[in-house]
Amino acid sequence: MYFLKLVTLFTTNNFVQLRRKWLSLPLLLLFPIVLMGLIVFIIVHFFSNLEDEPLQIGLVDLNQSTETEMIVSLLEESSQLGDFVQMNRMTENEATQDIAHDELAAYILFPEKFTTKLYNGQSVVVTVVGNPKRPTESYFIKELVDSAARHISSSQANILTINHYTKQLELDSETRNEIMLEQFNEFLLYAIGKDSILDQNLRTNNASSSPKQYFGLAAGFFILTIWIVTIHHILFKESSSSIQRRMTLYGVTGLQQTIARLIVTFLITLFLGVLLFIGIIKILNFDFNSDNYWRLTCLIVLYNLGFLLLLAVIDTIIKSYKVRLLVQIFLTIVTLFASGALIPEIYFPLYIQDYLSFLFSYQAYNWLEEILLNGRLYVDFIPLLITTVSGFLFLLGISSIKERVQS
Amino acid sequence: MTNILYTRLLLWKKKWLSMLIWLVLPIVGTYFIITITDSLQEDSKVPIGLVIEEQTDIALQLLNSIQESELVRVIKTTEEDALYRLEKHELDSVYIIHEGFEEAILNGKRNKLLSSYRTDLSFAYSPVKEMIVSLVQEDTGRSKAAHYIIQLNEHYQGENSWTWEDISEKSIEIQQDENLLYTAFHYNDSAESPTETSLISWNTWGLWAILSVISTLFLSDWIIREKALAVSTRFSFIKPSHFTYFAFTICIYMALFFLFDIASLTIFSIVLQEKVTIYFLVSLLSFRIMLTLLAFSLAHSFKSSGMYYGMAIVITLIAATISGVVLPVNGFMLKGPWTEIINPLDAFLNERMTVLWLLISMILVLLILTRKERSNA
Repeated sequence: MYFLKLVTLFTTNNFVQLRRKWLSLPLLLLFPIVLMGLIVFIIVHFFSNLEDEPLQIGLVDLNQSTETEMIVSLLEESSQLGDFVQMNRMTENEATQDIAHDELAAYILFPEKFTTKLYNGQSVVVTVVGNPKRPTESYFIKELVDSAARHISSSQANILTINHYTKQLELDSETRNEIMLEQFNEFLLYAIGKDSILDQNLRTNNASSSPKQYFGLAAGFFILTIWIVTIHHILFKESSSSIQRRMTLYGVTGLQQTIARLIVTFLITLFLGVLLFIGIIKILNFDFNSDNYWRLTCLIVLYNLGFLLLLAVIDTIIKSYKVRLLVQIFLTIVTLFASGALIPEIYFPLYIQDYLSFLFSYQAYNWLEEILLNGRLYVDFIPLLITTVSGFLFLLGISSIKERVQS
Repeated sequence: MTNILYTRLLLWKKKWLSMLIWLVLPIVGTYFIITITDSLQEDSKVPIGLVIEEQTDIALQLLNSIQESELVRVIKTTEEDALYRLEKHELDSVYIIHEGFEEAILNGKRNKLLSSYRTDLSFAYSPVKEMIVSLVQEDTGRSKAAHYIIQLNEHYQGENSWTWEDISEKSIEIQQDENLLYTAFHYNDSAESPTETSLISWNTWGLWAILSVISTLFLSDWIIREKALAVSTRFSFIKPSHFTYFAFTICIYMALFFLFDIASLTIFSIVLQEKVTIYFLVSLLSFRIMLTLLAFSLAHSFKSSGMYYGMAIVITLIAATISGVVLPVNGFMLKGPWTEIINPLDAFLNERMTVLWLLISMILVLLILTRKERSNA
């Protein structure tokens, strides 16, 4: 009974403490939303920039033969290497200068004797020279050229095969050269038209959901998590050791304070979290069954509890305030990563995927996806419930050990 | 001066472990983030669904070569199941090898041999598609060449009896014997090619800079504690003035930080093969001075350390976002002279000397210290 009384005392105290911060609190709560906005702004800016100003790539032809001429003009005119790419013919000097002025993302260099070597079966090196200021773009272009080179090299094997057999046909060299040029042409076009192999179809993910909703849900999950950490952090007050000693005389334990903090943070973030998700559902027009509201609420309850218990365990184990903060930030990042909100879990290595299903953030986010994006009317609460209960028992155990060590 | 240094060392001795953790955080953190993402990237594969409608040699060969690729993890299934799982985003994309695949290849046909399905969330679609297309293209191209040669033989009434199999074998042989077309990659400013380019390649010094921001801010909390001490009224009675005390302590901290900066420089150049130049050393030094002074100015405006730590985290997150270290958008990112004005890290991240923010931070610190002194007098 006395235990509960003290917990209520600290709980009300925490509420009072929060009320005193009514001015800075909304600002702090706004922060994750602003951060998300900033990230969205940067990403949108990045893609629209890419559309407005396609990547500039130079083509430098040191060979100047009919064949390379053909390749260069084909590349220049078509957007075969992708929609975001614009290619221009230039000399090597121009290309180097443009890279130095940051006007070019990379240039592709066709070496001297490119064609002759190609026909004779000697190895040829096509060089991609990247702009050191733009590593990501250069990498992207290198990939494109690699894939083009794969096609050309298989075409080249075919051309050489034709060359090999035509030699046996006893034709005069002029006719043979003509045939070779013609076939070179043919296979180049053939390589470029590679996409006709595929009949490409675009599917939509489940009935209503769009990427906007998908990312909206992820952003909501992020914001909720940051809110929990923030409010948990605000409520912590470092009391000096003399006060702590005096409090122990009254039978106050660390556990009571931890639980009080947990209750207050939980109530506030639950309220805010439900509001946030309802807001997201309304703004992004989710096709949301009203039966699912209580499932959504239960999921937020369990996720909040699970995450808060994790933070509380860290609070109990680590004494140094700063190190504790560091560990908590680190675990927050791990929690977010493991949820699959940042990178969908299917892209993780298998050995990680095996363990993910035991993690509360993965379970919670997975079911949030199911009811919000896939419109399911069922949630399996048991695993989450087990995690939460065991987390609570763990917290009790840890703090009783800690209490005993101190006394 | 020696007194100040001596007392500082005494203070440090009491909490050396916590300090050490924060001081090595940028080095250890950067190293771990880079190695962990590298190994994760190596091990992760894109799950794709593959539906085979006919069990012919060529189709099974294609399946094998797709399975051998390091890029994907193939899940063989039925069309219905594959599309269902695609919609649930359990698969990145789905490819269907249609009935009559072998026949079409043997006849030198190419159009629509395969169907692919993707969604808006198929993040890895284009590299996987490229890979599969190039594998199929090898087969169809070979077939095309064989048909052409047989046709040529007939046209010139050659007496050779070449078969489709012979020719395509020859073509495979040529391709394997002579790896013919290479691509090379290097940056404009250096002749050697980078050891490994990968999709998520962290900017080592960018990560380090972000972690340095948080560690410097957290280690600067002594300012909050010491300016609130009851003894601060006694500055009027002791020899070092308020100004010299704080200025000198900042210098001590700066030296300590820089010591660990040099350590990170050494470690990164050995372990992660980062280049070290004199100019870089200078830009590192200017970055360090700026960071320490800014951290001082920030810490000085806080009364409670709890709020200060919170602010430190907020600032670090914003810095990480706008400087393009975490989002893989460097190069594309907001350009222009004003990025240097809003982002103190910008100059360092672009391997330039921090000048503008160094001046700003110096002025800030001077203002704070001199104002305090006047009010004390």
